[in-house]
Amino acid sequence: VKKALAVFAAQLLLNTLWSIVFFRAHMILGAAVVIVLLWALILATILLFSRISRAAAYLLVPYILWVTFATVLNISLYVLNR
Amino acid sequence: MKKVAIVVFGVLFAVSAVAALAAADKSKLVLKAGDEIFACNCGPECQCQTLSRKEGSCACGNPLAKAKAKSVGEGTAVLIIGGREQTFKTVGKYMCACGPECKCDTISQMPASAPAAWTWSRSRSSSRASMKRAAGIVVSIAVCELAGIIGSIFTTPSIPGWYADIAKPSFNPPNWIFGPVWTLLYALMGLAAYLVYEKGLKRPK
Repeated sequence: VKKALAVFAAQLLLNTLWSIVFFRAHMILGAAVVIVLLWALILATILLFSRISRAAAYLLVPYILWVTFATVLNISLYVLNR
Repeated sequence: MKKVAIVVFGVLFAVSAVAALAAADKSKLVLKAGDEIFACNCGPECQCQTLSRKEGSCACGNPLAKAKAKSVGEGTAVLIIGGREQTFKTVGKYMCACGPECKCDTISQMPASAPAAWTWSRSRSSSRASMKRAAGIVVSIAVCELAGIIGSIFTTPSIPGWYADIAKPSFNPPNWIFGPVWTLLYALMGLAAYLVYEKGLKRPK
């Protein structure tokens, strides 16, 4: 449980960090790296949560889907604005 | 735009609080006539009256037997167990402590004296317990929303300037969609984290 919540906290921090890297620093490539890491941490959170509470894991499915979309968006923004 | 986010936020708070209140009253077994259930066959004299959805042993130590609900009343049910009719209470003084998502629905009028298949907890006065739970959920959601609010401090000033000027792909969604979506996602995150945290309280390792 502690490990699951620690990974959860890490992904939440990375989530906020993305906003800073993308919108404050205007680093689209840097933000893309952050969001890929974020995606991996969300997946890890879901896997850890699913062992503790199924419902909790399902609650995070919309989140990872949205971040998947945001990752695609972030990478295409980088390609278009190189 | 900001107003929309505040409204969504408020609605989510209300919904999650109500959901928490509804989920908290778990020491009640919902039975329909004709349902198959496991019940303690220790006789009408016996005070343990354990009922469960799963096999195992009663709080008194005897094994649970298969039973069928004949009729269901307010707080009681008449079961056919071992060919005899016996009235059982469907509101337990004690309940299985396996957590709010556990489907075992085990209740008893007696604390477990023998090592039963489940761990027991006294049914808490449900309104206080659910208030505590609702408060926990609200705090957990608030922490996650805070992460979003901090992020938005950096986001908002850039939207009309820098972000408006960079090239966007054809599938770029309208800007207004991000606020409500993230508000919802942070709320779901908060709820998920609370569910995991709550499990941690029940089985400290």
